[in-house]
Amino acid sequence: MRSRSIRVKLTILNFIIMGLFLSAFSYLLYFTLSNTLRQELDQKLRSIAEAITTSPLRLPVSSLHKSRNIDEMLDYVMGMRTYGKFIQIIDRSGTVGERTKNLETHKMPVNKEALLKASKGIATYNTIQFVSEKYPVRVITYPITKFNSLTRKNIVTNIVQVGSSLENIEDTLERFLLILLLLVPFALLIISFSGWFMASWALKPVASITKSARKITAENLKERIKDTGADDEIGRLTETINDMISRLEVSFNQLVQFSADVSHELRTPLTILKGGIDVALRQRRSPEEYEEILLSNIEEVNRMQRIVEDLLMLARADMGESCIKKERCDLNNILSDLKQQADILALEKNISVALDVKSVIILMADELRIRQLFLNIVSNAVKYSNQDGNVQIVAYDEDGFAYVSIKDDGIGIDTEDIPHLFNRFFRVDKVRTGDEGGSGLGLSICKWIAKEHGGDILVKSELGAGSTFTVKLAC
Amino acid sequence: MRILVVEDEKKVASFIKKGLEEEYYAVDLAYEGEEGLYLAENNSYDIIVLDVMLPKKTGLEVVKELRDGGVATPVLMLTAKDSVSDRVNGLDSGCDDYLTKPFAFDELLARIRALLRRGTKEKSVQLKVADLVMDLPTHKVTRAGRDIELTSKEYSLLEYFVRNKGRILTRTNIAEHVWDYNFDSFTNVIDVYINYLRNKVDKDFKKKLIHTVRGVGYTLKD
Repeated sequence: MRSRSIRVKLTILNFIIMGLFLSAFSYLLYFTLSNTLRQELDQKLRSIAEAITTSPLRLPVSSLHKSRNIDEMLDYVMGMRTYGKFIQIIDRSGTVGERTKNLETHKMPVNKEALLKASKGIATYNTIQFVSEKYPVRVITYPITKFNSLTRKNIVTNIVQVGSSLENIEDTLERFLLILLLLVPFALLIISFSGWFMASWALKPVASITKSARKITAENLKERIKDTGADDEIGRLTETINDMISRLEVSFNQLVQFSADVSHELRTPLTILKGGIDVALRQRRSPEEYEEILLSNIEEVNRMQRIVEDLLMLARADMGESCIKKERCDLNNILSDLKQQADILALEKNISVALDVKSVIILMADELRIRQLFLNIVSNAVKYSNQDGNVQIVAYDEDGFAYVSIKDDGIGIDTEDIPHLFNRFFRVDKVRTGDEGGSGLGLSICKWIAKEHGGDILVKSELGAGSTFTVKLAC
Repeated sequence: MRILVVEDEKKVASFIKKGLEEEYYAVDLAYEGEEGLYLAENNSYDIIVLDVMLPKKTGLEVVKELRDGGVATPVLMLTAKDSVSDRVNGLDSGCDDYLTKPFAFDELLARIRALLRRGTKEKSVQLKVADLVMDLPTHKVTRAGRDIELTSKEYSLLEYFVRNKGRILTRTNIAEHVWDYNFDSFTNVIDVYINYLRNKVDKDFKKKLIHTVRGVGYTLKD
């Protein structure tokens, strides 16, 4: 049976364990009691037999007078101890001599084996069933010995048998068993019920957690499970689940924001394409005009392609599918190429680009990605520089890291914006500068490349005074 | 009719301007919110096409300030965001209509025409004065069933007159609603165009529609 409820399982388990335990306990109790009672009886029988062997009754059977009353004698010798006992004296052949009155009608049978043993001086116990009696009788067959001074040995003269009905013991045990049979199931019932209630009580908060957790969906991740405030398992569970929901909420919101950003970024080129083509098709135009429109269109298509490619790369990076292939490469080489590219970019605004490499730096890096990283930052530096500005590229190595700082004296970045700079689709100003709109993912990719190379990108900037981007890469 | 387009994405702004001008509208452009607000406050536009995500001042801020300043020019909001709350926010800020990017240019034109119809008794896409009929979507102008060929400026001028029939229109009014920001007010361009229009619309007909109001301007009436 597969139960769906822990409460049921716990109760069943509790029932089984307690049932086994109580059964074993009862059995042990019953067994001990029965043993003790029997041993006590045996002890009593033996002590009576021993007492008899030292009394006048130990004399040979033949010498005893049948007329003498054994009961009176026993009463006289041992008092009330012998009441209710069956006692008879027999000789070694098994002939019965004296016997108590209670044996006159019901003969106590003599066990042959016991007789044999007693003749050899060994006492034995037997449990025998009188034909007429309901309860069996416990009998000790005990030798009466006499010291023979000639042989210097004890010789068995007579044998005494003392018996006692097991009625009392059996009755007691029966009653005890009855009590156990009634009490154990009752106790089990109570234990099971209390187990059930305890499980219910302990699991009640779980039910309420389940109920509130079920209400939380993608649409209302703001909701939390009500915290009981208790520092117990349930409290910790609640806390853990709430923490998890918080993390889910954050990443879900990021996802929503990201999707919105992606759709917004793609919408702009789409708007230009659709609107531009719509307007163009409204009338016949000159080939020059068509050419102009097509050129504008291809620019937008390129922009969309860039966005899609960058997104794909970041998606791969997010999935941990690193496409970085590290090889030995010469940073000085990369930077001198970078300067040439920067010079071309800087031409339009007459910006001067200076490169200062302090030492020979060899990196284990993906050269293509590193070039992409630097080009991105340098083109930003040029883009946000004023006419006739300066861009300085300085490279040096320190403590196993290569540092390349790219400094411009352009418009700078607001302190508030610096922490968001590397966020996807973050734009300092919502103005898309120039016709060559970026994907809005450039710096995110740069940061990722730097991190993949055991480094980082640090930004210092002052509004109106320019920015410094320092790229740190592990050598 | 004169339209202000406020849009930061230059290529979007430029195709809207081009398309609208080819539909005989006079179009002014602004690339950010503050400039847009300044132009809207200091010129009388018939329609403002306003992007929401603008630098310096967002489209919603521009609309609010315009409405607070008592400018009631119909505003068509362009938005790349199309969630219900964005649209509700836009309309509640005082926009009259919205269009989600990317949009079909025909739809933009239709919404502009619809906004121009607002507050007028005219509910059709045709404007009529006496036997003169202007079909707005096709720009076909007829008088007594005869086609009249008009240049774009002449068409704009006539549309402005027809929309304001019976009203005396000063040269300033005309310049503000038919010409764009680059109009040079020291020329007699308006009078020249009125003359062209009269030749085409009134000359061959007994009943004259365009009248000169001496010392003030012009008026068009039955």
